[in-house]
Amino acid sequence: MDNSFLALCTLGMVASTALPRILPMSLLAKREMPEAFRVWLSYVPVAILAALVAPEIFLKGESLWLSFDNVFLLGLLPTLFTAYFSKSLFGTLSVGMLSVALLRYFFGV
Amino acid sequence: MFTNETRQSALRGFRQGLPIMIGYLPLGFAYGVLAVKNDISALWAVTTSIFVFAGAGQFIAAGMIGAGAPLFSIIVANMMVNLRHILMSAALVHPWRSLPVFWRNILSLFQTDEIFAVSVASAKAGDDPQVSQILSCALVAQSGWIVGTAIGAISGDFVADVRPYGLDFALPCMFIALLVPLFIDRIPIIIALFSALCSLFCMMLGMGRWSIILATVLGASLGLYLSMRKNKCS
Repeated sequence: MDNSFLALCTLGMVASTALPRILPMSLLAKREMPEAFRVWLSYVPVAILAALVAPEIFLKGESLWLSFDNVFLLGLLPTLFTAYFSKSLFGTLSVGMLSVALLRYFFGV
Repeated sequence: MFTNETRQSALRGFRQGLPIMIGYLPLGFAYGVLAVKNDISALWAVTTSIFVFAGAGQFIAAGMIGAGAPLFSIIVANMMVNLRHILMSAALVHPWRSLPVFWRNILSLFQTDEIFAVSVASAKAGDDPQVSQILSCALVAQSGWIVGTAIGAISGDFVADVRPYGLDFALPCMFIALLVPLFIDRIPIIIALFSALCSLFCMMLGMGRWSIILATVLGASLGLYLSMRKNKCS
């Protein structure tokens, strides 16, 4: 692949990734935000995390995947349980990954 | 050279970044393999992981480059998938208000979905944001992404499948682990269920990455409505 093309691509990607990450932060930092907007923004993390994780677990391509073959769906239960009771990132990660690994090993799903 | 306090918060950040690093290794690996398959040299693959550091954007770009897409369309596609970062960056303004402006801007550059989630979670936990903590978390996480990319790009198909180890479940797990502690009352639980359903619904309609943005905007708006109603009643 042509090096100058890849260089231009990379530059374009740097700009299109860095700008949306940095502009709101630097533009909004200087002014007082309306209270309602601040409340709205405070709910963005919950909404975005749920929106990101749901398709990973419940979808295969563009269709619902509610079946015992869906290991991520089966692994969701122990993962949620650990997240709720341990509140530990590492614990949740270990239990989740272990459940998925074991399910695959023993049930070949 | 560093104060004890700085060292301690850097250590805390290191511990927070470690799970992300574990999740990023196989993901970076997959990107490295994909890049080389699309005729992008290992050096370029690693360069993008260092300077761009955007999971989805890099995957899409690699595929498009391989398909011979024009430069302009690759950059536009990247902008599309990165639109959600506008919301994330704006959401960090308030939690990071005590940080120096220079560092706020630098740290914003590292905010991938996962690092953002950790930043928000530690702000919610009442920790005062510390530059050293956020930076070390980000760097540890990114190191997984870069090293993963390098191994993938160099070894190609030689490394065995990561699925038997459950590594592909690492990032969904992280999202769950970071989401659950945000459920401090009924409102965030309702928002999460609503946004998850919105996102699934839009994905099934074939809206792709737009689903995430739409589900987030609708979810946060529902949250604002519910909290206004709650305040009116009390």
